[in-house]
Amino acid sequence: MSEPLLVVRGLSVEYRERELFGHGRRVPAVEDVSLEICRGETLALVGESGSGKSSLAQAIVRLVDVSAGEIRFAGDDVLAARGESLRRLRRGMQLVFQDSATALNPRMRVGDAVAEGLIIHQLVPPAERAGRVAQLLEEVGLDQSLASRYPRDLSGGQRQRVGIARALAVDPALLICDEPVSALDVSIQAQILALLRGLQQRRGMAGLIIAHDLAVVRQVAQRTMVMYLGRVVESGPTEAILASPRHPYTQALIASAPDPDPSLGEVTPALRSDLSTARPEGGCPFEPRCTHPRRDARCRAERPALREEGGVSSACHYGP
Amino acid sequence: MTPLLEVRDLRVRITLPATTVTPVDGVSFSLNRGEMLALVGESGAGKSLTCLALLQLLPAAASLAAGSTALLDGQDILALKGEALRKIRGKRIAIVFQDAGASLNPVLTVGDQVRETVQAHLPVTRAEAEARAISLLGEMGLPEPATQYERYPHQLSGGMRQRVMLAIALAAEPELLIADEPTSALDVTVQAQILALIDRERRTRGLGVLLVSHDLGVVATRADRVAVLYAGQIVEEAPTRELFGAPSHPYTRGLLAAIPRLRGPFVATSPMPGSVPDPASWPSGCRFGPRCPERFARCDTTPEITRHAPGHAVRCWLSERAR
Repeated sequence: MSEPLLVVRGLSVEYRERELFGHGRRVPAVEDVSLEICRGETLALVGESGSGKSSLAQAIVRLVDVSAGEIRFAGDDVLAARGESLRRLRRGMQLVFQDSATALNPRMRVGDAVAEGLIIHQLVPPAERAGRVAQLLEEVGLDQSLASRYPRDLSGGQRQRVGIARALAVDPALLICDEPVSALDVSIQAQILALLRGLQQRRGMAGLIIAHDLAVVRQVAQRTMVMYLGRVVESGPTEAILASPRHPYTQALIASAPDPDPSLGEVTPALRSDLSTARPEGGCPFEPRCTHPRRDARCRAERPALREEGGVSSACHYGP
Repeated sequence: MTPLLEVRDLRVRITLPATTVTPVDGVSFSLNRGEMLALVGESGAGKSLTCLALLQLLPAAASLAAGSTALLDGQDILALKGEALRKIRGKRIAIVFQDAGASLNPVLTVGDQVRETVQAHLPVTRAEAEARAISLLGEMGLPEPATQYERYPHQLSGGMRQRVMLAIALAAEPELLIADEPTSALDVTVQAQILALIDRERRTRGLGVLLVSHDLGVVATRADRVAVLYAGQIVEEAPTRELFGAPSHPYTRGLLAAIPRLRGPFVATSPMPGSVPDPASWPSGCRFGPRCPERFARCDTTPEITRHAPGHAVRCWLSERAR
């Protein structure tokens, strides 16, 4: 097997806290994250707000600056790319956003929005453009008559399909979806998930899906990385993680998830507090909320490294 | 026994330039003390307007249709005005919304906002109200409540702000809590904690809770009964276990099949076709008809909601045919 499609090594992203006076503190959003995605494979980044999952995705497509690390896409150095080479890389990795209402230009007709990538990357002769747009709309389950409409005429689910069609227009090798269904109603969410599954099968496209909902992730991703305050705490095949989560945070995330099944009894969240954004210096980032029976001084002093066992890696000193 | 709340034939009309729509169209349900009833539906089902109507908080363009009643302990709260209405709102019926950040006053400390509510409804001195505010914040799970009292909303996380909203809601010891998507904006781990808190309050105080949610998963392990709302009407109502174990309306079944599951073997979700219709273009006959996989000739006429089994009502011709 050749090199994976996407390789990320030791990636960190920092933001500066805005302050009225002075420079502001540096706040780490992503710390030392490594990942790989092979062709045709979908990886999910899962975590709650503040976990750094969106920052990581944005860093991969160079929408935010990276403070350390390396990114390689299809063999090319992403961080070194400039001008034409950056444009070529961005064609290969397309991003679909959560809020399709703000991601689409309100003054641009649906057909023009979908055609934009075709024009920028000069993919289709002008005479064939309309036909290609119609094909793309059909591929995402939209009637081609919608091409002449504006985003405001569309429902949330239809707009999300337009966002996907726009991304598909340039035939990317990797589709990055940031919370693609979290703003949608349940019945529409299932439609979009079915569409994404269909695209994976038909196009053999690789995917990176960012989501807070593990049940959603399970529908589309073969592998999952669980993030907490900028760090990866657990990573492995999705079904293996769900069957026996190792990290106490993953366990809490699964225990808190509301499944529509009353026989499960009451969901008892095994957590000591709400999300604390205070990052313990040096120690385990999850320590302030952790209920692991062996939690001790070591967790506060020493940051646990990811350790692999049977295909699943987790970052806890004490394991399950 | 008189139910705590009995809503009958609630209708909300909105006058648009060209037409009048009825986004809440004949909603009836009852709720006992200490009971949690979940009102579940997708956007546009009429959930939030139902909540707002109960407290006469409807937006200006909306109005209640004649014949709508909501009896709180036998008294029609939709007919109340002025001082009498003020004595009900906040005092006997409290409401919490999805976005606690928008519901709190950004320039007052959270403690003062709880204290104000205590003073507005209970005959106490300022010092007593302050002490009660601190103890309420503590009961709602805020660590070091006396310190948190002095903080402003922007200094708290979303989960903490929702705990403050609950402290305000419960400050006057209401009998009924209306919780409109109280956890939808929160992370899943925090969501579970807030729901546990609401549940504890209804068990310990005998508070009646109307829990409004788009998420059947959220209500599954907490609610006693569930009413499913579609296009302004309740299409199915049943005790929670029965609704999930033996859903009878094709919409309820479709909704359950569309929810991705975390536990058990992997099952791909099966999507329902179409989307919730707009109130201006509700289909004639059964409103779910155009999306229904089990549609038959009779669905062109409007089904009534009828008793299907004890405590289980369904608005569908199929269940009538089955009986």
